[in-house]
Amino acid sequence: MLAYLKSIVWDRLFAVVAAIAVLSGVILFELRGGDAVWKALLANERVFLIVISLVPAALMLSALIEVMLSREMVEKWLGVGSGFKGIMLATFAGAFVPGGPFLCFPIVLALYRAGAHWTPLITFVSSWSILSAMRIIVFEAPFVGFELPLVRILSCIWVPPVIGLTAYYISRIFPPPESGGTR
Amino acid sequence: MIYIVCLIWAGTLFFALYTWRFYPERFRAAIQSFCKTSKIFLGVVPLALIAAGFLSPIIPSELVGRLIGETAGFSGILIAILIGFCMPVPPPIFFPLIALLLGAGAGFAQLIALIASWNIFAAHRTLGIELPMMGTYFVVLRVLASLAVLPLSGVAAGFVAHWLGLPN
Repeated sequence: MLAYLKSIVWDRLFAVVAAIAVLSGVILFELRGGDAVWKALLANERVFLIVISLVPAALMLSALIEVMLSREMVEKWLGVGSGFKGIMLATFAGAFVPGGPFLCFPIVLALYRAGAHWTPLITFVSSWSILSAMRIIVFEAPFVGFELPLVRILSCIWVPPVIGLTAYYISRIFPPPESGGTR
Repeated sequence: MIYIVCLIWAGTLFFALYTWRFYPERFRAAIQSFCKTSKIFLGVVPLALIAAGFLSPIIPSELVGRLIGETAGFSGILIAILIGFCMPVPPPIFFPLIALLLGAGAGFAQLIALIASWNIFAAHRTLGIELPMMGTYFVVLRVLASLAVLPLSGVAAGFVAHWLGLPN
């Protein structure tokens, strides 16, 4: 248990994020006083509720997806040789996958571990960020109406596949590290 | 929201029971993978959420609005992308700002470049979730590829808005 806790805290990224949190907290305290810091902590209450209630399920779901998907199938549809087919599938899936980042990234990691290539995964994340139907309906349309999202979809629909293709060519010039780069 | 959470839990439990019953070895592998990934959510993610909560009141939203409202054309698109790049604010703060800018008469091209850039980079999400899970290579590759493509999305938005007879 102690070793487990130590492996969480003894981490470079953990140190960087902790430093950012402390620094921004101090700046906020200097600018707006202690009340603003307390308010900013409480403003996260909803997000923390979502994290606590959803994340264990999302992580378990993605772990199950990872072990149950057959490697051949993932490699056929999203692997190195999937090419344009993989990119189009990723664009389509990203636009219609519901749920926030706490569901999306565990699934992306599971697909990667199951044999998917970088290019379709980057396309998927881009499509999920720009075209996500769910986010437009829940967040965007209530504030700005439907005109702006419509123009945005019409003018950005080609963006995720092109980002995927660009990432493919960049990854050919700068190949991934031997370890694969992920955790 | 509560229904979505219940639905995801129900699906996960069903899937877990099925795997445990019919593929016990794979179930054990899934538990191992779960423990490995959950470390990230216990450490970096809560800290990043706190950092984002501290940062969003510091970002001067009104200044951002003035910058976007005043600069037109391709330089406006580039500025919008740059601003979207470094705005670690969640959607409930971001979209009211967009509504304000829209009401103040900002061009569609700049607004769409801003939304696209914020969507793609969303600093709180990238640093808090994506980097700890997917690693540096994935994030750098995605950001580089997006930086190359995003300015064109603003230009395309300008053309589409012009074609539909909207302000651009």
